[in-house]
Amino acid sequence: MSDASVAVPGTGTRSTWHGILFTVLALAILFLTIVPVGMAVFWLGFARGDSPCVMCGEQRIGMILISLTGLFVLRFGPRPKYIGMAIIIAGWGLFMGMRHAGMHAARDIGQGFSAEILGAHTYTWAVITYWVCVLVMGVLLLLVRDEHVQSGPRTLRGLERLAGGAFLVVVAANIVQAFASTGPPPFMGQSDPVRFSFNPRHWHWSLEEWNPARIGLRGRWAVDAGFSVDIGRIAGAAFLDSGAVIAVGENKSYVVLRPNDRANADSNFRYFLESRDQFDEVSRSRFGTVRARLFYIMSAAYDPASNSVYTITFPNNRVKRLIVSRFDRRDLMLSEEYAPTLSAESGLALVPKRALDELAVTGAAVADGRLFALSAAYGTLLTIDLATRQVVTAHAIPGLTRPTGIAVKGGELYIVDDAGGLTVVSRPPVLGDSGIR
Amino acid sequence: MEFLNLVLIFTTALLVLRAPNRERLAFRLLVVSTILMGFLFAMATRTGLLPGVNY
Repeated sequence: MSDASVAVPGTGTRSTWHGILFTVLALAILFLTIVPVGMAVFWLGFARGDSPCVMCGEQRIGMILISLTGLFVLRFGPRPKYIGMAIIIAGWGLFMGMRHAGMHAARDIGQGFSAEILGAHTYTWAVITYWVCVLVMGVLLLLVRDEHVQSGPRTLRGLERLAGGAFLVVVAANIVQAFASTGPPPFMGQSDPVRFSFNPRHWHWSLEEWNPARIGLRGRWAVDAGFSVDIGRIAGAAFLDSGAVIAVGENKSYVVLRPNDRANADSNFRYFLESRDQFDEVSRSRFGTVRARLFYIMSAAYDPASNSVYTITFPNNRVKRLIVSRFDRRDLMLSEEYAPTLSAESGLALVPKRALDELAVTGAAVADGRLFALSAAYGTLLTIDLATRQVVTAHAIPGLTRPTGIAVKGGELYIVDDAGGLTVVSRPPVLGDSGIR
Repeated sequence: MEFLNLVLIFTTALLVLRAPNRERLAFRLLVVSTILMGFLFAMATRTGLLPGVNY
């Protein structure tokens, strides 16, 4: 490092140059403390009830530790050991962020996890934050001169004391949240965190992460089987049997519920916002698709004959495709997927330049080997033969306004719209059914 | 354990801000907190230190 008299540019600028480093550092500490970490605990945590999962928690602590090394530099100067610690923490933080984001980034559209900020989930912001930390540390190192490296502690100025005070307040708030969400030692954070509450009855302290497991370099998807699944907006629901209901989100995530009048409301706090004393959660995960990947859905149906759940894609502004996906109930894995075509025997024909892919299916139901798909676009009801994978009838249903669901009972179809209105129509006859030629 | 780590961090910050003559202890606590953070994250991902995607 060069001599201070050479490094400081110009006579009379020494004190100004000296102060710039600590001013920039204090501002960086304030930003890192207040924006990602402070907002996470006060806004997402205390205001919106979000709790960090175990990985988010460690990423947050990494950011706090980088701020803490900044406080060391403010007080004692930029000693090499502080800079070394900051680089180690930021390097590990980048790994943590990429490890966490990589796990979710590979999933289907809309199947990310946790709160979104400006369209990106918190783990993605962790990567960006650590990246910015590394860049800012580089800038700060460019500002370091020999005069900054001193042996004794510095006297903190106003802005620097403010940074220290903000740090203490934010860390104290995180201590409160950590106590409620993860508990005292030996309890630690959970992969599937319970939403934050100031009510101790809803605190869930867990040792699940201490359970011994085989250490592996390359992960399995089963690693995160118990991880929280954001269902998003419910796209469709169907009875699996007399006592179980599956609700599927537009991002193809699902939850299976079972009514239980004696459900434990406290233990179910983690699963339900309401009615937690009336339902138990059986399972929650995500459907994986191939042809329907990167498409949202707006409908789901259950077929007792094949013991399968069906979903139908919803077109978007860029790509329009009508894909039927079937998931075997036994493992809820993709078991069949196809683009239905028009049956030649049905006599149906498309208007030139139009395609089945344009249909916006918002409701689906299955009965007697037929999949009834209700399209909000054009108010069209399709009947798809599940054996031949062909559309065998298409009917326009006049008067439908924003239909959202359909159910079959006997010979009638019950159609509901987003205003709660109910329309009942007869099941359309299909050529080849008994009595129809 | 996150609770413990944050208490350690809070204590470290207090030492830095209020008792700078304890720099040696404060820095050791910083190192302990960093190791604890790394250990807990490794525990959380112990069955797959890398995510299950194509490399």
